[in-house]
Amino acid sequence: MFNYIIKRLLQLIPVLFGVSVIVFLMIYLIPGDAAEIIGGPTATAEEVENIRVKLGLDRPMYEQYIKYISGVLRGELGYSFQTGQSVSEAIKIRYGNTFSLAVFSAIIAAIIGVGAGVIAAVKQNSWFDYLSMSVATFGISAPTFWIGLLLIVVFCVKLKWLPISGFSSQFWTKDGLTHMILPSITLGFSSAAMIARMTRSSILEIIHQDYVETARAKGLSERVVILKHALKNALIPVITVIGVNFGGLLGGAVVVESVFAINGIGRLMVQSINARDFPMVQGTVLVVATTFVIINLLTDIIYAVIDPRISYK
Amino acid sequence: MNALLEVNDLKTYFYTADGIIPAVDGVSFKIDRGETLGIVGESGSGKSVTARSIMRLVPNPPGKIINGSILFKGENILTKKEKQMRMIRGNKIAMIFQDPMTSLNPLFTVGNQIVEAIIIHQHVSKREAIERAVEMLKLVGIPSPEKRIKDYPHQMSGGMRQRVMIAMALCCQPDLLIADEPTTALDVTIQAQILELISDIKEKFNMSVMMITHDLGVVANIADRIIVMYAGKMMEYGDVEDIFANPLHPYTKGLMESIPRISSNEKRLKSIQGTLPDLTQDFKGCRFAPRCSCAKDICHNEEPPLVQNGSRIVRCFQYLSGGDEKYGKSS
Ligand SMILES: Nc1ncnc2c1ncn2[C@@H]1O[C@H](COP(=O)(O)OP(=O)(O)OP(=O)(O)O)[C@@H](O)[C@H]1O
Ligand SMILES: [Mg+2]
Repeated sequence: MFNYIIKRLLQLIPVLFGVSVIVFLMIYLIPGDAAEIIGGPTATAEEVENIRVKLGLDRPMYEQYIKYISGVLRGELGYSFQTGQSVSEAIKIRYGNTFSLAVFSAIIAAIIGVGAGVIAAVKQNSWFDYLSMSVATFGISAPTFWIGLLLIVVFCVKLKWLPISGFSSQFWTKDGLTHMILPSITLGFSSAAMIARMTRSSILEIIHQDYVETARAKGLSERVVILKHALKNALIPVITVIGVNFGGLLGGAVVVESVFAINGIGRLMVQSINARDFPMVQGTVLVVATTFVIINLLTDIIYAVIDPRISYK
Repeated sequence: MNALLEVNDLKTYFYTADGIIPAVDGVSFKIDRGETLGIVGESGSGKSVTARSIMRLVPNPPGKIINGSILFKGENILTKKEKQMRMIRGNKIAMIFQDPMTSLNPLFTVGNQIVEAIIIHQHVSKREAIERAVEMLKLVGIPSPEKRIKDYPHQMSGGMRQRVMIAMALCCQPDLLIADEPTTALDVTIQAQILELISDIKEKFNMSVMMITHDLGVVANIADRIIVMYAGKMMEYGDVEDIFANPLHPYTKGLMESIPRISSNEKRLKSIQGTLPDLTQDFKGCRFAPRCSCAKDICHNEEPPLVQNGSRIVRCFQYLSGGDEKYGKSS
């Protein structure tokens, strides 16, 4: 197990290297000359040249990368073209907001998804099964912004139970939590739906396995049979869905952040893309991509913790 | 003395989209203390469903026990509540299955899975349960059991896993062990070892065993009595020596002839032609008639009754007293 984790951590190095290279190269991936585009249509040749020198674009590529990566490793992601603000500072606050939103919705999605999936499977073809699976199908196909607006209309405008916007970064306070609920549900809805469907089909498959029969033949109660013997096995594919979805939550946060006026990294990314604020774009992409990679690693480790066959050779 | 288990006219049907399958259709037998009963029949004849009926583990829906009684120590299992039933399963009646590769949960150590069975039925501490589990593993012949108890199933061979299953089944010293084709999935040499282990343990604990198999060779050595099942019906029931010496039912005869014998000078192994009938159709007559070489008109039209023939019970018109004329007339 320990060796397995070490091995997976070592495998992380080339992946993160790749990520950094791609992020670094982003500036070259835009068609045309980066300095010209940054300078805009009105820039003179001299201004463009200045930009080139300022960005170090006149240096050889490897030199530029080394400069870039050594900055990244020290936590320096450069300064915004737009505001002159430190990129890492700007990301820090917004990343915290988005990340806590994503974690919160992932937790809600996992609890609701797994819970509904288990009940739907155990009570297959019951009204609960039909209802929850219809809601799930709806949840997967309905667009996020629409769900968000619907929830706002119902809970904020009509029922006046919850505030619309004003998300603060102190989310573990009562006020913070009430602001967190709707955005998290909006963000986690499709994720919960996918988790529910996966859990249901996984349990339905596992329930016919011989070891479930063995567990019953031992005299265990149906509860223990399902929650211990079936669920643990059924969770293996579900964990992949949760992991992949968590990455999706970070990406999908853009819409939710806009709907609920949350100062998050998704909005920052879109703003800086529109403003051609390259250091900011690079910084946000790097941070989000790294989070993806780390979530993947955690998924793999959780896998190995649950399934002893994975780390066994 | 009362029999340990007495099954009377058991009927377990499956209500499927394609129709009703009478998987077990009027089966009666008893098992005495210390007796080994073999249940033989080809695939689909209802052996496993009989076993699951006794454990009350028939999947419902689609399955349902619709008739009969199952008396275990004089009490009808079929009227027990689920909670009472759980106190019998794994405790008084234990079961082992065909495929040891899939019948242990891959995500828990074998120790965990045995201990779990001990703890739910016996009021012992976890530590005592672990000691007990080690003892059981030793009993079934697993070397260095105190180490192996921490193994996961995938770290063990098929034969070892089946030993673990047996240890698990025995940990509460059940009165009855139901073994549903316990050796079918194993290598021939391992098969013999496992069968030997089961008979040893049966002697040691004075347990009764219900040994399900499709292989008459398996029951020849270990069973006291056997039931031959075909398409949900009991075809023949009697002492193992009698049946081997003189099989009465044409199906039993067919099964005997399909056992490979080294001494035989026949080149080809005989087998029974044809397959099981489709039971969802309204079936008339003897279920074996379509494949039976001695079938007469009556066999296709009327269901033969169970006929007592000495200590033997057989479901065939040939042995019906006065049946001769009935049977002969139509030929
Ligand atoms: N869950 C189920 N749903 C529908 N029909 C079933 C189910 N389980 C068993 N049956 C039916 O019951 C019949 C008897 O099955 P059973 O498993 O008892 O056969 P078996 O004698 O144990 O055969 P095998 O040697 O293959 O294990 C089968 O033909 C099948 O049609
Ligand atoms: Mg079977």
